Amino acid sequence: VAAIFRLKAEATETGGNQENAVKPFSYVSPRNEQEAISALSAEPDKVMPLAGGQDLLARLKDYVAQPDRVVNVKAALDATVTPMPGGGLKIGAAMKVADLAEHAEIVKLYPAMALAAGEVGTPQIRNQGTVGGNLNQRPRCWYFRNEEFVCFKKGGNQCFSPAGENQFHAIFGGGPSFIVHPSSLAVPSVAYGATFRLAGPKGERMVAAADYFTMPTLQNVRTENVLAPNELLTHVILPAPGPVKSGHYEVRYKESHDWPIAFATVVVAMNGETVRTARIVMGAVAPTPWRAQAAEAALTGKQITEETAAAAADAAVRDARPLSQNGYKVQVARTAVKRAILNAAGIRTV
Amino acid sequence: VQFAEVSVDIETGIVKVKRVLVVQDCGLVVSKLTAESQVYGGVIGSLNFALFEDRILDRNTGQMVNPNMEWYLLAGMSDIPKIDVRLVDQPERGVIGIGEPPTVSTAAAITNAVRNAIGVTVRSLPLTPAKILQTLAQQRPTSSA
Repeated sequence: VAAIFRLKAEATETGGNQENAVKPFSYVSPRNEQEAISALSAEPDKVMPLAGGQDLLARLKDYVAQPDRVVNVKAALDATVTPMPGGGLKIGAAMKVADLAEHAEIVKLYPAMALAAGEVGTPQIRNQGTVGGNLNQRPRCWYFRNEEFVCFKKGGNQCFSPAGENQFHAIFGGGPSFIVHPSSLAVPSVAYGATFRLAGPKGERMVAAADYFTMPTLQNVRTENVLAPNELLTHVILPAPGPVKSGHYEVRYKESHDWPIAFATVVVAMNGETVRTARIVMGAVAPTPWRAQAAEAALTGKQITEETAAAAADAAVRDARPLSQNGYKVQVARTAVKRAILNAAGIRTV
Repeated sequence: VQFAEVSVDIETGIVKVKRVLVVQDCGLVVSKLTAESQVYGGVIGSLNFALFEDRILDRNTGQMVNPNMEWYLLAGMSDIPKIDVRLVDQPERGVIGIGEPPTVSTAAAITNAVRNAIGVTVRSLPLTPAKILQTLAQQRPTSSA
């Protein structure tokens, strides 16, 4: 690690980071939620929470994040799954992604969530990263992560991807930023209709997962969600699933340690043999989890077969607007949706 | 000589290498273990060349946008196929090198196997899903599009 630091420092001697080192910061380890919130600041980018460190540490080392204070929230936040009155489960934000993937109740009641958790990164990342960290990680866009490119998200006045290298960027949304949302857990959260509990200095508030993630505008482009700098996401509350079936399909180039090209979570409620309601949400295709309402409509009232799944998948990507190099992602997203629908119906796919 | 067996998912463009068979001449085999080990390494290196390794430069600034293990892809354990090595032991030729030869044919064998599987040729490496899908789309009759 020391060698990597040195190389990076030499490479940036001529520009970018003037200090040639990670900016010094103070570090606090609050013991509970209240202490953690009072350690945060309402001013953006000054104080940053740290849990598993799978995002923040990389941003510090890449000189993309330069906080004055880092608040270790591992001990302050809940790391367990607790049942809710009336059904449903409450997942603590400090829970490890690996523990979520293997949690018996999650596997039984919300299998798509468990599958998504099991596909995150590598075993090491899953055993270090947390649920809250996965949901709140910053974009993995290679322009955002490179200190030399001062993009919209870093206070600049452009997104470098439309005229640059955009093979992994968004095919939905239309800018001004073309990131894809990096969280694997965000997509099943929206598909299952989860609610996030946020805690701040004025108390708690509940936000539906679908409303938590925000599409970029010129005003809010520096963030990906509604979480204020002095708030923490403390819990993910999954409603009682009811008699639904769910499927999750992720298309990744490599078998492990690779970001998905596109993925989809499908949650369907059946009425006998036909679909009564469906929720189809795509990931890695837009700056937020991307709900495909046209696909939901196409599937409603139908039996799930190869043909109806393909028709719904076609509807899911009909409005895609790819950039110069990511046209192939339309086909990949279509396949992810089709296979997630088939998997939800118990039909095995590749 | 190398042979490769691949599967190509034509709906996602993803190539998986199932098996590589290597028949390698290296004159007198001094140490079978290390000679075979050299071949395994060469095959894996060339598999990365065929499928993954790609230095992506920003077209406007010339900056490399993937200077990290996150976006500069290399095969992980589960991306590496079964590799069978048959060394051709020819003591009469004396000791000759085996440093680079095993890395030469793998990428060609994989690319030819992909052509054999999908019926169209991808003309540049790495064989990314983007290139496979684009090549398939271009060469298919328009009626199925």
